[in-house]
Amino acid sequence: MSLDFAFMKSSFFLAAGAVPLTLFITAMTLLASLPLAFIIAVARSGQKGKVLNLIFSLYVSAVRGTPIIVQILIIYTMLPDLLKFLIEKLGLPFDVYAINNVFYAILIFSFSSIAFLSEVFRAGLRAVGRSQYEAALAAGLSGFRAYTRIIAPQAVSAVLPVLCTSVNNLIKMTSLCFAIAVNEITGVVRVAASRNLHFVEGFLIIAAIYVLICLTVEWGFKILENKVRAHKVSA
Amino acid sequence: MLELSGVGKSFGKNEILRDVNLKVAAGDVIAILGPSGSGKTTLLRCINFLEIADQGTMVLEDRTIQLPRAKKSEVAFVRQKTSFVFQNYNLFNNKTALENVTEGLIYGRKIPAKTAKEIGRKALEKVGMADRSDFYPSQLSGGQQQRVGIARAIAGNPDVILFDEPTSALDPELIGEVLSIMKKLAQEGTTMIVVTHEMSFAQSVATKAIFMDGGVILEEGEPHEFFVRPRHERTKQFLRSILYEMEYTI
Ligand SMILES: Nc1ncnc2c1ncn2[C@@H]1O[C@H](COP(=O)(O)OP(=O)(O)OP(=O)(O)O)[C@@H](O)[C@H]1O
Ligand SMILES: [Mg+2]
Repeated sequence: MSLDFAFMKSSFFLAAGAVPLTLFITAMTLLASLPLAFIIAVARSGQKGKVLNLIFSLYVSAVRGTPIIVQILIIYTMLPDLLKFLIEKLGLPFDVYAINNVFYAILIFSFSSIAFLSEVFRAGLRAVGRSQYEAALAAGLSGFRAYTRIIAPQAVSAVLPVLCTSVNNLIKMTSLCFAIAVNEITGVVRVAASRNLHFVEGFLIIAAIYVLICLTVEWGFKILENKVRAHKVSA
Repeated sequence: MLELSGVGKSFGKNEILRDVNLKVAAGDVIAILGPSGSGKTTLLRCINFLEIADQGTMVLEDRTIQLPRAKKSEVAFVRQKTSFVFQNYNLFNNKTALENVTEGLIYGRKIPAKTAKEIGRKALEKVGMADRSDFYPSQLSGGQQQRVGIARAIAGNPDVILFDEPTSALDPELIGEVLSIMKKLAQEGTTMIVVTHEMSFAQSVATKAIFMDGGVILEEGEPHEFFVRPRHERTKQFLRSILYEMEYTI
């Protein structure tokens, strides 16, 4: 088997050109799901909210129990009609079919990210423990400040390694966007490769690009972890 | 200055505190003694609203507060005017020693960061921890952590400081450094309520000793009376058992 290096080179640049879109989808998904996931985790760790807990555990099970590609297909086929219905009901001057598929991609990935990130944060919150919260209240902090200043930073630093894995998983997940014709890394190279049937070269390049991105993310998280190492309770 | 009356608290069916009355005047150092499970910690926690009492009122400065129905603003007021030193220090693990002290000043008492830092440094100096300002709790010994805990408690200049067995998690050789700081604070007129098993501290520093058993205050008195001539049989038993333990450890 011989590889077409010229094609590999051209698809490398093609793929590199699509990296920003992949990162954009990842970043927007994280922006939407990190805060929501954290709020859900906090709500679920309180004593109250048995009903809330049930609802969210069903949600988490549903997300965990279905392949991501199935979620993509379900949401992508259902959501436009649903949106159209809503828009017509509300009488908004808005064309559903003008909505970019990137928007749907972000929505779909947020839907699943919120579920697994909230589980990650729940573990983090449990690692911090109630005494830190009480000490913050006793020092005069409001419940909100106690969470933002004391609890959240510790919960997040406790789960940084897991978060790193989650972010990498999300990046790799975005490759499934080709199913809804979004031109991110996998999509563009796949189309180019199908034109001259150099699939092997194309897919190797895609793999290499993802490895590079994920290594960079890991490196970033290593730096973060080193920064917060001192906070960690050693005893 | 601080007066509790009729404080009661149950956890489920268990009555933990029953009709507890306590009067604290400025400059008082009140030592609370009593066997394990007698409700000492619960009482302190009820004062600071870490636990909500089922009955009772608190008078603090010019305010009268119904403990079971305290409003948010009243809880905030009490937490401004009191502070808590925990048995397990409970320093904020993600904050340096100095930040541990300033956190409550800046975010609880709305003191500007610059002023808070000055106050924080002074407080750390007072407990002999000025040279450890930038250390995280995980980098400090138990005794050092508790000294920072005390700095955090005095920095806001509260009316009363609540100590819950501040030395009982410490190795014996580290107890002295914490007790001597508490003694110094007492001599300066700091008002304190101290749950402790350190009999010599209670005897030499406290202005009043209280014995709790089964959720009630069984006996209270000035230390020289309390320790020399306890009236209640349970108090006698308790003091004997503690003294025996002390001799035993020597
Ligand atoms: N959150 C809680 N839920 C249920 N029971 C509790 C709770 N907190 C305390 N108790 C019970 O209340 C009783 C008094 O506890 P408390 O911690 O006030 O005792 P203590 O006098 O401080 O004892 P020690 O000397 O061991 O610290 C104990 O029997 C304890 O089991
Ligand atoms: Mg206790």
